[in-house]
Amino acid sequence: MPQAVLVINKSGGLIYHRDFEEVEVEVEDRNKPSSNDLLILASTLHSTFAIASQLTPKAIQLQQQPLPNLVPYVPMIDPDNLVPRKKLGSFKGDDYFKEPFQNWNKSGIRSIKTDQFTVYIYQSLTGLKLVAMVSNRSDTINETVVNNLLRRIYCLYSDYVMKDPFYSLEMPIKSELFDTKLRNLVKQL
Amino acid sequence: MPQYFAILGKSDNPVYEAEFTTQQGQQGQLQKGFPQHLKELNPFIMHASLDIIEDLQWKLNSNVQHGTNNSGFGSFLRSKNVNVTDNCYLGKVDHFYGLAITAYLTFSGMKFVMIHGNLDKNSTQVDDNAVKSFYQEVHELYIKTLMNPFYKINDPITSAAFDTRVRSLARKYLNK
Amino acid sequence: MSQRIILPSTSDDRVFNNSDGYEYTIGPKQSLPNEASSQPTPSRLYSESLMFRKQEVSLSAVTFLFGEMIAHIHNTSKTASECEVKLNDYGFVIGSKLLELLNLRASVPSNTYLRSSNFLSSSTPTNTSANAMHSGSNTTASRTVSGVSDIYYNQENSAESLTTLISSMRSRDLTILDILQFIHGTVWSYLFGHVSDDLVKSSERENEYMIVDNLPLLTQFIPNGVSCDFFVCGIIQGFLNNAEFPCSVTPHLMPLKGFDQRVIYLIQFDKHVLEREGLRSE
Repeated sequence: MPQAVLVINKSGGLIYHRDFEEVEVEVEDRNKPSSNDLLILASTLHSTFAIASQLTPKAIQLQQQPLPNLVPYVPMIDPDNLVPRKKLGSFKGDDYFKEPFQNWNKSGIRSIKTDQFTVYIYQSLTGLKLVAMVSNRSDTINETVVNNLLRRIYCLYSDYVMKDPFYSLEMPIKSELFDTKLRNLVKQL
Repeated sequence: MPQYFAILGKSDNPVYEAEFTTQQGQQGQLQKGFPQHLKELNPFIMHASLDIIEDLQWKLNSNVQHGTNNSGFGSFLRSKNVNVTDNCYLGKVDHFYGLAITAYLTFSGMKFVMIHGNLDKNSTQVDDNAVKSFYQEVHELYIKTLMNPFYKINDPITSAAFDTRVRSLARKYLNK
Repeated sequence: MSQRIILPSTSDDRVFNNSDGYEYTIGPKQSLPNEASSQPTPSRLYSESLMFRKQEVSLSAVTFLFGEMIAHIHNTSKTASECEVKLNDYGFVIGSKLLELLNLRASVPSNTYLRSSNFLSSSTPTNTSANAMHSGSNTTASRTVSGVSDIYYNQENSAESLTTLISSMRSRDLTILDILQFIHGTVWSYLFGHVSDDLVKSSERENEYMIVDNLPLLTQFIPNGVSCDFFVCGIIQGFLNNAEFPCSVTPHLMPLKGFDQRVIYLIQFDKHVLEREGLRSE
């Protein structure tokens, strides 16, 4: 289970943040980042990402075979909802997608690994960044799984945020529906 | 036989009116419509029958009741010879000095009413099957009019296309 | 043409030759003998068939359109209730037109569809394979118009008039229960692709009925979007009001376990509807 999920808009503003509290209480108490810290973190991540995309080594750019872009599909089945053909928003079928998908994050940062945790970044074609922070202690989650999770969150975003007539672009996401759906999704991991 | 046909809206306002006349094959002969004095009376005759129509509008299982030995109020005027299961076509609802009046109700309660005139002073006979088919076809045309997003319910139907189609239906079913 | 005054019904030919359609300020036109040979005025509206054609529309497209409609109403209204009234009015027009259309379609015997499509489509196997493909796991984000449509296209041209297929019209609904059943079944299937989840009569008040939808199709992506369901209320109200069942309809959010967005459409009929029904059923 990831520790936190962030959504950063294309100009580097943090528009959504959700913590998942299954970490030990002591860690939580010690230094919980304030909302200001998170904003700084988001914009720092955004600029680092931009710089990194310029720093892509020439060797990789010249390589005949580009980096593997295709992410394989990992099924995630909700144990509570095994009803056949349950409709998922505007998506048909029992899952959002069932094919391997292209990673659009071609030259920027895909992950940052530290001693404590790893940060995974999924970028949409419009520059929207979905960030997941995963504690290194949970060994079940690898990059493919996280990418699948983030893509599903992107599907949720396209349904419950973009189709909300009262949402204005680039503004913080306050939709309760998006929040609950996202939490349900993460619970499935 | 000339006919006077009208579609009446929710508040008994005219939505569409037309007069159908017999076609006499011989050239030069004046086609026989309603005489001038009747022409102006037609809307009044038609509106006089509306009470009966509105009574029939809410009659549950109206088909069961009317028969030869029926003596219920209002039904002595009626003749519906077609054995039908729907309650849209009401059959002959009223008469006025030898003129027969038939009526049809759409699902939204628009009233299609027609006065069947007679030329030879005999009481008018109404061919129920033909009249019913005519009404049903006009009903479909009316629904197509509704599909026009610019048409508001109860507005007069001024479309020339509607007009010519209704008239050709009248030729097909009423004045063969 | 430029000056048209109100005239009594008259047989003056000069007037009739000028106008082409029905002119309510003038009165009925008389059929003319030379009309018989003339072609009917061409019109796409009247030559199109009213036959039901199976077509699927992308849910995304519909919700985006609906969202824009809400946003437009939201921007042009001063109060929340004004918003709701406007939304209700939009639905009202749709509902009142659906009343006629769906009743006519319900009059067409159901086996006619099968028979005529077998007769007209030279490629029946394609039809079934397209259906099979369609019902299979199609997980792309947008639903596409299935290949069935071109088969139906032939049919559309051949059946300009539906009434030729109808032996007898569907009975007009005269009781509250009949018309609510029709809304619960036929109207809901037409609008949302499934029958409504429940149809309940209020135990407290005589004139109240409820239609239940576990997941409202149009407002499922809108957080706290119950007030947006006034659109569907308008459709129901337009349908019932035009069938001479005056009523008011309001949406209420009633979450149930597993269905967080369950909406109940509360229909309150005017008193005289019940009185009429009481009188007539005796």
